[in-house]
Amino acid sequence: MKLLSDNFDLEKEIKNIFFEIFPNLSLSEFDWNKHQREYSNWDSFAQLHLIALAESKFNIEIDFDNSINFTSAKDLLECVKSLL
Amino acid sequence: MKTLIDLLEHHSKNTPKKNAIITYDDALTYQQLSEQSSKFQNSLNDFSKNSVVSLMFENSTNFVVSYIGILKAGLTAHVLSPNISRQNLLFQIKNSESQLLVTQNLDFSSLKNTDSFIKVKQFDDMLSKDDYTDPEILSNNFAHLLYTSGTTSEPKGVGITHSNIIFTLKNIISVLGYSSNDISLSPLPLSHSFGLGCLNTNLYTGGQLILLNNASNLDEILETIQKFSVSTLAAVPATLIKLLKSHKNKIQNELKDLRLLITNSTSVPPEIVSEYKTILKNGNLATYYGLTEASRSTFMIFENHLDNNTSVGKPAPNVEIKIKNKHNDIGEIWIKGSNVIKEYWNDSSDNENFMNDWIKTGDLGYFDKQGFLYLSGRLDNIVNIGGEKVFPEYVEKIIKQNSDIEEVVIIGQKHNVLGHSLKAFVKLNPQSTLKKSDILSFCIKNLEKHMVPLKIELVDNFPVTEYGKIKRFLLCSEALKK
Repeated sequence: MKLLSDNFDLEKEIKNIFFEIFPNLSLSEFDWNKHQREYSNWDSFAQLHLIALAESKFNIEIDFDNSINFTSAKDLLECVKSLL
Repeated sequence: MKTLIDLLEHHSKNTPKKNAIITYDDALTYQQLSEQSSKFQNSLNDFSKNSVVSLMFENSTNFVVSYIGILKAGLTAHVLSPNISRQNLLFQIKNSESQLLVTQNLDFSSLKNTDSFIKVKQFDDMLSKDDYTDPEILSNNFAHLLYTSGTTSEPKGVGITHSNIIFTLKNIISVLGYSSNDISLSPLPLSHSFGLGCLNTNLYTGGQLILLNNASNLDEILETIQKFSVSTLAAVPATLIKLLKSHKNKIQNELKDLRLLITNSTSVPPEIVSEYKTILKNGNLATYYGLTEASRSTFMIFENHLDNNTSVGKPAPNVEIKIKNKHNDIGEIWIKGSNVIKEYWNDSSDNENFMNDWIKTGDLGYFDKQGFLYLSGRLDNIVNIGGEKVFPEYVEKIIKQNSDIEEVVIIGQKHNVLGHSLKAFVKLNPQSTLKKSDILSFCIKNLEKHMVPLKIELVDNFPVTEYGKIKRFLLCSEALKK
């Protein structure tokens, strides 16, 4: 059975991944729906690093289609949720 | 041309009672070495000139007798490691077309029921009292045959001629100052080019060589240095590092009188160079760069006051080195000289590695303004990531700065977006609790974006060659299968 705290931990981990890949991103600037184009340095390498960190933290494999399609923190959260 | 045999006979006449080889439980004077090797030579009378005879021994006086006996007979000594895998042994015997394997107290049951038609004889059965005329030995006759260790591909046979040997020995002696006064210690396997070079250097100069069998037995090395007042020690960088870590106080005293500490074929960490330069009060620390195919192509004698301690030195006398196909000053190292072989043994698949007397080493490097050569990695290891060339060795160096990581190997693997990306195989220190995501975080913080490995795999151990070098190509092929 999934608990509310599971989601909370998952969200916290995804947030931490974003803060790690975008070190200049402040807590107040973080928004689950903030789009890729609103980040100044979300390029293809940042995208791949987000995926790689998520894969290694949650021990999952994100397939190619999912990896190129997500454009927000919310997308990554949903993608990870679907694989856990 | 004089051969090693001519020089040995010269020493046998001039200094017959002087020890040529000393081991833990045996010693051979120059006269004894000459006489016993002639007996061994005589037992090979039935072999046609240029035949190959394989040797598989631990470091011992009997190996030296056998090796010299084969050279005296005008044959080629194929030198095998006693730790060789069965698969590699069968490959080498077939590829070398060796007709006889001589050994001592080693088990060869693995050769039964195979398609290798090779005779196996014990050393004691190889000493004949019959006398035969010495054959004429030409400079371009093959003296010995070694196989590359296979870190980047399957092993390749490297036939070394008598003139290759003499050219290289003259360079070793002129640059590093070996003489008949030297008492040299080598714990290196004689089945490896470095160890065999130490033996041949000693036989050339008429010095004394002490052979040990275990480079990990540091106490034995230090005791031997004291007992025999050793003047030169040959050791791989790993031995030097272990000595510093576990015997630092002891070696301050016991290595201080060495004339020369010689290591090999790789850059030595600068902090290790600095520590040894302090310990060697009046001696030199030196290294060299070369392949089995192009032995001792550079020499580096480290100086405290120069900022080039990561270099492998300058080209050896009469050896040319050039950097080809440069990218930001780094390119492939090409070598030309009488130390370079012409082709691989019974293998034409890699003949494109040889061009107009040059060998394309596959190593990457660059020269500084003073003409010192630096190694940067392997050409076949370069990974093109979205148009950016990445040297895995550089990425490994950065990752190894994390003290939780004992060893790391970076390889390239296919990637849908970038063409290729990096994968890291990581062996952690036993006490480490690092997770894959921690390693990735470290990489993201410390590497340029395109150099960050997108996959991390934790491993307990790496596949290694008989000499302990990691078989990188096996990791690459495993990664491709996944």
